[in-house]
Amino acid sequence: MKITLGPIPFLWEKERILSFYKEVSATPVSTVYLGEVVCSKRSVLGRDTIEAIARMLSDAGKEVVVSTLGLITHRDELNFIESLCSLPLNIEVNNIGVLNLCPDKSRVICGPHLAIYNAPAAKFLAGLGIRRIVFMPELSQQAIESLSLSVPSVEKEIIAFGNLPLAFSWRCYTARALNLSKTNCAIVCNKYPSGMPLDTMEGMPLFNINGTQLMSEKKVCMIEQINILRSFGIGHLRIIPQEHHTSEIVAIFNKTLTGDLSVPTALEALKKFAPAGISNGWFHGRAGWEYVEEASVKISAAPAS
Amino acid sequence: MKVEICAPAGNLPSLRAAVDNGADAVYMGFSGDTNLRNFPALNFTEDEVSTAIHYAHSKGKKVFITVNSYPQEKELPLACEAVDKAYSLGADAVIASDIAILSYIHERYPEKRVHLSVQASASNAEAIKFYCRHFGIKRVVLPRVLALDEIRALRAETDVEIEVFALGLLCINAEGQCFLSSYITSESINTYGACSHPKFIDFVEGDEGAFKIFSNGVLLNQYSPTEEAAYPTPCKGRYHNKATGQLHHAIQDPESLNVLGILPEIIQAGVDSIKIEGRQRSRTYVEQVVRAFREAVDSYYETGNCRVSAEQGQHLDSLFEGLAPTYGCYKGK
Repeated sequence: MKITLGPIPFLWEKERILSFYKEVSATPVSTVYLGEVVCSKRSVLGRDTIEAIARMLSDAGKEVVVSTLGLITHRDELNFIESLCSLPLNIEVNNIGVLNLCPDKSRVICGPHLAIYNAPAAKFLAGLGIRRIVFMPELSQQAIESLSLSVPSVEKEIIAFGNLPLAFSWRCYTARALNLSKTNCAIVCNKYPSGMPLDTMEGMPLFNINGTQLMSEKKVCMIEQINILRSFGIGHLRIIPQEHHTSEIVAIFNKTLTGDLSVPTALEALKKFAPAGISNGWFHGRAGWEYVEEASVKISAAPAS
Repeated sequence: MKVEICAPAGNLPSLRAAVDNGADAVYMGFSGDTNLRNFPALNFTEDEVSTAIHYAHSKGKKVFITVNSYPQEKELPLACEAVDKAYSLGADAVIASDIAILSYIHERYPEKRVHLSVQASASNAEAIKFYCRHFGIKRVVLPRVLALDEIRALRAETDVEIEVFALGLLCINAEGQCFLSSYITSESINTYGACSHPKFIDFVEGDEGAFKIFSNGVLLNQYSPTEEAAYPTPCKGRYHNKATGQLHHAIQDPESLNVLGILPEIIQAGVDSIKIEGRQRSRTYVEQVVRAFREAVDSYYETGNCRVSAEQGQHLDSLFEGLAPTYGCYKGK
């Protein structure tokens, strides 16, 4: 199995992004997804900068993928994405319209924001000749299994660690928190490189505000499911970049894959990077925020004696 | 041709109320998981759909059947069966979003009309083009993420009919792309067809009339005795923003859409149909909102204005208890 690094969800300063990818080039990730998925006003990385970072990462032996916007409402946004599609790189499509802009479907990776819930939908996309599907985070084990088995020729990826994407809006929630409109937001989201955590009125960490996106505040953690995911034919595990410790998280996943770290040890180490908690509920057919221990899964699945 | 008024119906009396009060089309769904208003005691059996279509057609009105959830493997046969029944009973269109269902319709019923549901969140010209090219959609129901100038720009780029929301509960997040309820409860609006299903909701009374609302054990809101409570979807909950220290409606104020005040601009943007939300609402609601929109639309075509009295406007707003009226993002973001 390979480790991939998803696109940076939050808006970081350009300098921080450049040093982050320099650091990433030395990590054992096989694939790096670059570019903006959340908001077209965050134009920190133009096409030229993306191309330069991509070259640096390719030279370091990484597969480089350009990720594109989830919610698109303007022709200007489509035009910018079309210019990205002309780069000699793979493209992560997060809005179905972008499929029209990529004539060479063998370079297309269907991102986690496309609604692919069943085998016929996955097969339809496979029929267009796409390269890889990144499964939506809300799929259960059963759905992941049936989708995976239905498209053996397509590469499969799941989000294995990090804040989960939960919603896109026309509204900028960061601007709203600061009493600004989206139109006059002054790109204030760059002041919050880990987003804005939202707790319930009882103090339970629930959501995270990231501009026009809502994410989970807890981090999904699929380290305990590696073997079962591998058995379904999933070859790529995605780590979502975080403000701190991304390389350490990658290293833990890598050592677990190489057998140098046991799963329980890895799990304990990863929990330190998720102060609001970890979750895997959707995989188990439960609420997304819940965490089901592997041990309890085994017990409940054991036949009654 | 006048803009179409597309009204909701959750049962036969509501359908009759919609038709009798001036709706041009009515949308409805079969009972069960195949559509997005999957609430108890709501929606139509096969016989009722048949009766509904006969009644609407006898008055020259159309019926659209929603099969717009995203079925997982085991529910797919049921969804395809709903499509078969809808067309065989004479529905004028099926409203769908899932690629598997759209493919099924396109292969099995190439001559039939299919509308792209709002759940597909087709918010740009390329997405619409994609669904036209592959599935032959005749109409797109636009997600509530577009400003009027963006709708005008889309109109210029596509020949597909455009339907927009005009009244009712308002999703603040792009439809089909919102997993808040699923994250809290496990049941997704996309797959199960209900946001914040009542079976997960608990009202817990506190002192002197104060109360808390939980969804699957997660606190969504807490009200003092004098506050009005809106239906507890996660987007209308109150949360602590730990970055700013605020406790507020961090996602959306309790509000509902009502475009009556800007109806001329909506019509002038070139939309073909205006949609009223509320299949879960009563017959009285359907009767009142359809009548108000019928008068407003007719008045626009007669006079260029939508003459709606202040009382009527207020009356419409009063149908959304605890929710303030808004134009959503039609007038800007």
